Amino acid sequence: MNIQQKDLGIFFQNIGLNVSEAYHEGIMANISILSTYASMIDEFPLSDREEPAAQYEPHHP
Amino acid sequence: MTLSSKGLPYFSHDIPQLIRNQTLSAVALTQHILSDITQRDHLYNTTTRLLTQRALEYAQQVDTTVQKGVDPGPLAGIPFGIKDLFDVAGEITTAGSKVLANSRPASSDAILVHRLIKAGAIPVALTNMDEFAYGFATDNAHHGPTHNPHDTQRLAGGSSGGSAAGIAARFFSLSLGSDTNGSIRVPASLCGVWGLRATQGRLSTHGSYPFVTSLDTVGPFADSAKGLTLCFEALTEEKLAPIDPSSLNIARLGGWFSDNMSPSMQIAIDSLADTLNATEIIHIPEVARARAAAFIISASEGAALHLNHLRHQADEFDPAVRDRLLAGTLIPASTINKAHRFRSWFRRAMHEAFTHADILIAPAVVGEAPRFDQPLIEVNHEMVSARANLGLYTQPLTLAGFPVLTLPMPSDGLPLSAQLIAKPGREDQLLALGMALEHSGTAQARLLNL
Repeated sequence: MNIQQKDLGIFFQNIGLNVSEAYHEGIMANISILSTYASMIDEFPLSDREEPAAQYEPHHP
Repeated sequence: MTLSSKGLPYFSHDIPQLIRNQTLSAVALTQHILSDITQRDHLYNTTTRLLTQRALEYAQQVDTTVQKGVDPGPLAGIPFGIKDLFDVAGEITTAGSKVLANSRPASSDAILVHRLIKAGAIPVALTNMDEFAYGFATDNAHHGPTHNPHDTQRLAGGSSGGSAAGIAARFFSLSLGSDTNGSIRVPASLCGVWGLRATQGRLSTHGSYPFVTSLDTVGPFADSAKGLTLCFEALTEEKLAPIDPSSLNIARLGGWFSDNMSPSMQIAIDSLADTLNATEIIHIPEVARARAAAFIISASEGAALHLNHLRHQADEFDPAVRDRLLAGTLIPASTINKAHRFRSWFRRAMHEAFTHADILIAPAVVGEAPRFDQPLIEVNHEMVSARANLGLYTQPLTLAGFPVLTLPMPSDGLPLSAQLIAKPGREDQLLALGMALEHSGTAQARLLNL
């Protein structure tokens, strides 16, 4: 998630959001936190055959 | 004990028998509770709406049933609170938000609300929460914060804070909450009451307002392990088979779950482990990444759910929640998908952790409830947001979907709780162990001494 504050407007426009610039600072603080977590997920080696748990059952499949 | 004093003078598990033998009238108890909330809740802000008419109607039904010689149900006369994300017929389900304030009132009760009423319990109030259940503090921009009854300068925890604090304040003895990342376990711990995050999918979410459908669970709080067990049986409509707690193999979690505890939490957890002879220490791999995956899934699904509200009503959101949700709209699909794939991986790691154990012990939060004016705590030698890190130990477990009991431990200071984790579907083991520990004095809810 390499997102700069100056680019927020165009990112939001792409998904149909018109977000006040007054909110940008608070949003960037959250993006910073999420970026750290996103990197932790992205860098983890997983087998291509590992299926997403979309319909999640905690029991063994 | 009389109804002339403040608060509930009885435990949940004692009330049905008092009602059955007509020592206590359900109407008198309900009137007492409604009056008490009106007089004292300005101190704690646990409730947002009283359900006066319905409460008194159901209480009258319970008393009439008893007078006819018919059993009024296993939860007869027990007052309960309802987190304001469950549908209650005739009420608008706001999920703690102005965004939904103009929605149509619910036409029927959520399944769990219905089942408690069917078992004889009395719905008395809707309870305060973080907006859309997105928070660990119950600091609601519209309704104000819920204060911890044991020290009103401190957080009650969230997002189901009103449901937990209302029990500690003795306004009701059972309540319903939801737990996506720790929203039952965190406030149960900070307020010193019992709470259960059931196995994902075991308790129906039907009729509750969602937050993160991949992770959402709904469940109970109680003033005693016995009461929690009765409540769980009513919610599942199943009687639990007896379990011998001495037959359970209990171990404690190390690594992530043994770092960052406050000195008082360390002492309490060590003492609990000693009592349970939990000498084996088990390390679950990749716990930090499990927490990261829970964060990513929560932020992205919460954002997707509210995208339309953010387009048209952004100004009506709690600012803190709005900013979290808007950030969540920008997470790449590839990362979200991988977080779900990692979840499958982590589920296997969790099952391996239970190879030689039935129950695992971990702290619920790092320590005592933070003060409102204490924004930072130390985690891994860094000062970080106290509120965001209240879920440090709960959030990774969320990803696995296993059942977790929040067990209030004895302590000299403010409440401290442990998480007891079992294999999927084994709430019976957790509740049997909880009742045994309550019986021996190793665990006990911390309720206001009025």
